[in-house]
Amino acid sequence: MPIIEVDNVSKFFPLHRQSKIFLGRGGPIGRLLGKKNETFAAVSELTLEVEAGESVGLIGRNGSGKSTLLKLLAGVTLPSEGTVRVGGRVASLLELGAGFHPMLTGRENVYLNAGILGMRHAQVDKVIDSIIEFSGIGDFIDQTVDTYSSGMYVRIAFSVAVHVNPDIFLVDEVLAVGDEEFQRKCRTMIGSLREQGKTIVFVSHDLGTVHALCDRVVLLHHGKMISRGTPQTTIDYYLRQVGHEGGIHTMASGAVEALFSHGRITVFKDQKEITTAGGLCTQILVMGTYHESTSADWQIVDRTPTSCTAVGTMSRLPVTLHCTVWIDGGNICARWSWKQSQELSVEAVYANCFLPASYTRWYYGLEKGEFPVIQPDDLDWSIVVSPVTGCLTCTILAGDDVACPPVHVDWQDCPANVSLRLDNTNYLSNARVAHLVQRIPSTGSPLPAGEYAIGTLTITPGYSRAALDAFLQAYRESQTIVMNGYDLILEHGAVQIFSGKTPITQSIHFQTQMLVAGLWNVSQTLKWSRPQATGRGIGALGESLRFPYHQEWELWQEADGCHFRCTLIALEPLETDEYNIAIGLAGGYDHWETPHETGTFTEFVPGLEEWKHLNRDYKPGATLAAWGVDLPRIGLKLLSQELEFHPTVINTGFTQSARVLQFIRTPGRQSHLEFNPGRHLLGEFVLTVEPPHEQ
Amino acid sequence: MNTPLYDSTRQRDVLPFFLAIVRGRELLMDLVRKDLRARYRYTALGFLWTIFQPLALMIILTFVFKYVIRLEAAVDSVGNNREFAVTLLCGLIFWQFFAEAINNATHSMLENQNLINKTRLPREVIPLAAMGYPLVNCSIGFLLLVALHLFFGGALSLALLWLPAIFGIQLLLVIGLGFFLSCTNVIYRDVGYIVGVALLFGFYASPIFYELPAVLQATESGNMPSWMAYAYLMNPLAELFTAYRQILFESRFPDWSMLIWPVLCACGALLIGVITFRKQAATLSDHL
Repeated sequence: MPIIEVDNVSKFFPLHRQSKIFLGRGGPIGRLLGKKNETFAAVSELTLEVEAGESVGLIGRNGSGKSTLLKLLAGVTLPSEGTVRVGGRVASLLELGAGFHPMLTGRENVYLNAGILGMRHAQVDKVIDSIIEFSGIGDFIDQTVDTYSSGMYVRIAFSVAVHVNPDIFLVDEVLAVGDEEFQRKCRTMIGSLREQGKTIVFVSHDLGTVHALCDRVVLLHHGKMISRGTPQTTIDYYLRQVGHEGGIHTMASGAVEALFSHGRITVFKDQKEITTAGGLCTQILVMGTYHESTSADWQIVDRTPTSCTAVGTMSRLPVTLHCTVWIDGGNICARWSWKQSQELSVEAVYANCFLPASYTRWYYGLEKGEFPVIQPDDLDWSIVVSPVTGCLTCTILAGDDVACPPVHVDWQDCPANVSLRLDNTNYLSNARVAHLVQRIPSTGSPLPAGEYAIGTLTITPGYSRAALDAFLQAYRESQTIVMNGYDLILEHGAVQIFSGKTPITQSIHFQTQMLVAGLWNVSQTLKWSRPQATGRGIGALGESLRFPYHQEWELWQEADGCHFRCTLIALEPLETDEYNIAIGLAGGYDHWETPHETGTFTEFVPGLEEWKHLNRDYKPGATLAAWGVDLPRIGLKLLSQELEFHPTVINTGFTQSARVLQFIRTPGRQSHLEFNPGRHLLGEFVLTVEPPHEQ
Repeated sequence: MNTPLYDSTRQRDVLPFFLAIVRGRELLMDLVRKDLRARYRYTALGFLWTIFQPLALMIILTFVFKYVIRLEAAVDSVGNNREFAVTLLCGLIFWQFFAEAINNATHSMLENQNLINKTRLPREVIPLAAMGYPLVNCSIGFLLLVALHLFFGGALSLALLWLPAIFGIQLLLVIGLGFFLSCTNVIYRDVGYIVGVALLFGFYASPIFYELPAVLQATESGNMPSWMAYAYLMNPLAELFTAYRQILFESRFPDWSMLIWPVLCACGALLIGVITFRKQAATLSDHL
């Protein structure tokens, strides 16, 4: 038994509303004179039945008659032809807060609003506390609502609507108002209404939300129903057929297909959608507000069967987004950038790649793991894997029994301050996200006008196991040197030493530090390139974001150990007061040795955070070593003897609990170490890691 | 679906009108209360303003007609020695109720566009709620009238019990007109302007600062053509206002014969008003 019956309904509106004067078209005298008003059909010969407990989404372009149909269901107006029958109590959220009066208190408005939605005072009395609690307004409830923020206003209205407890909810784009958190709350609430068996008819432009909240979707086009069915098929149909104007373009090559639709890219492989409804999209964070690429007005400026270039104009920012999508073999590539016509306080830029929850495993950098299951009470996104420095590539796989091809995500050409993170979304979206984050450093002044890159994304659906293994192998080799069975891994301005999976280094690992203009510049804070093969070993280039210099590191293996060479590339004359090369070792190391003395590391004392030098003799020297029970002996030897270094041994504070071996170079009698523009050797050392002696 | 709660084909039926009002009574009271609170919130004098308005009008009209123009009726109307100011106030408060209620009702739909466009509340309550504030005004004005009447040496009688009946006739007339005008004004905005002009006209064409006997005397003495007097008597307010004065000042039942025409007018207005309203109300949002 359907709870809503729409039978052959049409609704006409006059075309010339302004001419409704007595003598004009459609006026009382004009009608006698035979001037009939021309009309257009906002809804035309539409038949639809909704069963109790169903949630139905209405989608379609602007002016397709969605809102008119909803008004007809709500009884706000009558159809010109046909009948509408509704067999239950209706709460229509055509607009939150309709009928609120600014001069009344929140409480008075609750009664008024509930009355408008058909509730008696006695009924409101029973739920008023619950309404106030859900709204989260607190004591403000007895203030006049003209003192409220728009967010508070909307919260009360939504809270009232939910507590009216109707059988049928009609919701029209209500979720488009309010902040992110409120929208989330609304979506969660609507999800739970659905679970309670309420009937929901839902109009939205946000296809992702429609997909998540509806059992069935009806597609309207010029007032006619042109498709209906499951959310997936109807939304697909909508994206392919109706929207083939403006900002929509489909590309295909072989088994791979990509659809660009108003700032969102959807990826298909073998006709199956790989991404979720969220697709691939970007966000710009300005003054605490997220501006989605999907909210921009997009135009395709260039299209071929396998590529397109689109420009999206943001409605509330002086920003245009640029996106080029192309298919290259089995890969889908997308280059994103944005152009701002005036200076703007951009805080961060995000690029998201949404994959369904059937993807459960990930490979990222040298790590791998599984996504936690998203629980019904997960209202927020959660971080699954924190960013790995310098790594913008990951592979996401589905369970073995699920027919979803592995997806390889790779970002290139990204600017500084970019990192990749893997997230779980909330329960309603129920998706995995490869989340590219570009933080714009706050320098105190807004970002000047200009064009800025976000990056180029390459997505490979159907990434093979062999390709993944080869990638991981190469990735590992590109930054690892193996010595006596120990892994020395160069990553983002530090060398970490592992014995199998056990870290030998900790805290600062193996790093350099330069004191420039009173500031310590640690190598790990430079912007590093991915490690690359240098012929004899591996190397990487780090770029200082603060001072005009780069550091070049090279590691290679020789008979006497792993050589480490650090070169300074000064872009302008540079002065440093002091620099050092240090290695932080696990707390298990208990003995140390310098050319002049030996000693033991002292215990760490809780509460003592000061670093403590343990050697008494600061004379220059060329060797340092440390060892401990069941730990490899670590040796550090200075090769570039023309440079004078002072070896020193340090205990860090309790929190870090690391043993540090350090070579310090000071200016001696001069006030500074001066470097002219060009390359300068900072030092060459040999690092040895020897297995512990059998006892 | 055996008995749908909502059926689009039944929305223009006339009979559910009364059901809608019964169902919407709490909402109606809420809307009236909202109107009153909103009007007086942030005012220092609050409800006192309700008294000042008719009082000020009474004082200025008394000044003009009794002392400046020295209107015959004002100095000593029809030979009785009733105080002009009180006679005037008696016409004034009931006229003000009529004018304000009609005017508010006419504009009520436009003022509540957002309710009409976004919700399915029974539309009947909107013009009715617009009459709430004038009704309260009128009640307070009536107390003021009684007080002044007693102050100038008048007396009260059992005839006062008839007053609600007469007021009931006026109320039905106002409601009928109000319903008619509220929905037609949405479709043709000209109606609002016509009402404004008509009310200005009505102020002089109703016995407010003069009395009905004065008009009749004018015809008898030949100062006014008799068709004009008949036309004048077509205004049901003429009879109603006279009835109020007969009850209050002459302490007698109003002439029965005089009330036939107002009752007919009230019934006619109500019938036309309700039918027009039901035919139009459900689709008003198309015009907003």
